[in-house]
Amino acid sequence: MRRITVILILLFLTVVSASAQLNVDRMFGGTYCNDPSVSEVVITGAQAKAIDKGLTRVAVFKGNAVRFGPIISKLVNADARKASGRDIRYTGGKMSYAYIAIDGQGRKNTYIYYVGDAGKASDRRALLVILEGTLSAKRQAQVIRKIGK
Amino acid sequence: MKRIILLALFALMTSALLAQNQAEPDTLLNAKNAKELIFSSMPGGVEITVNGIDSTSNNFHYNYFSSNNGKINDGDTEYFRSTKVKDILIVTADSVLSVNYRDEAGNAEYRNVVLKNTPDRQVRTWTGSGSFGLEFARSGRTSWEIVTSGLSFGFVTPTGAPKGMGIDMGRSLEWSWNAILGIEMTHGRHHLLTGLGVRFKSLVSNSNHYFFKNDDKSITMVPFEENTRDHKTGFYTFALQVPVLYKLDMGRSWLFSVGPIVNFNTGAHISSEYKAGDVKHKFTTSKIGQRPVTVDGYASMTFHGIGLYVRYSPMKMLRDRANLDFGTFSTGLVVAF
Repeated sequence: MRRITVILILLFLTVVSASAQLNVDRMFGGTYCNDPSVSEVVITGAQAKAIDKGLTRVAVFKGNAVRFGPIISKLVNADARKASGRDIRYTGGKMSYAYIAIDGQGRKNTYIYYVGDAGKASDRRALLVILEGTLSAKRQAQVIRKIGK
Repeated sequence: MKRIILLALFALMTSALLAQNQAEPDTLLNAKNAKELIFSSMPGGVEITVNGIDSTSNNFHYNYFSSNNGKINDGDTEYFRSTKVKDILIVTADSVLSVNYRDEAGNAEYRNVVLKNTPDRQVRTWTGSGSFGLEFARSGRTSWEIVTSGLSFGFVTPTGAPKGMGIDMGRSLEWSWNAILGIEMTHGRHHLLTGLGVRFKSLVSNSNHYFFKNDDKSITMVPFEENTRDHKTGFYTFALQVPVLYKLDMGRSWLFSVGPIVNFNTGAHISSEYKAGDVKHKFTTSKIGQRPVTVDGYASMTFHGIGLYVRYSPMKMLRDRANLDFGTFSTGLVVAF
């Protein structure tokens, strides 16, 4: 009985911690690494600070827009519910742009940037960028432009 | 007992799945009071502004617009403004936007708007005292900026100099600040810089001769007197300079710069020194007849703002009457901030 109680508590904690995470984080960790169109980069610590002093984490996911656009759109929409600010645009019924700011209430802020049709016409890519830290909107735009190339 | 545990497990899993279900209402604003609530609904969009949330300077904004003049709202056009509102709750669920609040008199009010998910639409909502969103400078856009740029230190050697001049590159130095104050035009990866800078240049000889200005203003090399030592002679020039540099951002923090630099040579002199016994002698000759305006070719390559430069001055440094024709070449380190 005690063992089952422990299992239940662990399960509960797992669910609680999972709900605290970003939904878009599911795009990372090698889930889609078998797809040749996918590239994912996660930068933390000193290397993130080298990009900008206010950054603690940067995550960039690029992949085929047709395949990954609908997947990322769904996750972005889920994270938008926690946001203090959101700017979401749809073109032709598909999410084409999203910018979401999640206020960390004095701790780390999270910014999610998504473009559904990045890249050249022959190679439409979905681009997802997660920035964690404290950056001005202007600086975010500069960082995203730099790392999104 | 097992049944209860299984049920508990099932309930837990279900709740986990439900937590990810996006059909739940999305609470956009839940505030106790606000200074005013402005609501505007048209066929092309809905706009809500709530100012002074919970007695702070924070405002709430909600914009839902169709991009291509489509209709996102079948309801009537409506506009209202209500002050000193309380218990404000703005929620979206499925395609319904629901605005609930109590007016100043305490009456419960609400508006429900059915939003059509037109293919081209934009939804913006944020809380704060400023604006919200990212603005990317378009790559095709040209921007202008006041800058300071290019501090460099290098070594100089004469080109086309007569034999026996004996200029020592290791002792001939150049300091320059390409643009103490300049203006830089940026167009994508391309930059064009101009401004006003300064340059100090010395050409120091280690031979046993010194540069001497004759009465006819020609400059010749005259041997130091015998029984003297520690000889040193050289040209020292100062110029105000106007660079016109093209810069190319090559990516990965590499920057290439190239272009002419116009020098206004406002000062130049010859300085020579030697020791006779234990006494050090130094004499300076001014008005040596430097060319007032010369043009140099400049190029640099930097990585993370630090790199190498080369600078070629093909024009003669001195006027014809000096009868000492030479240009200069210099190279060294540059900090391209």
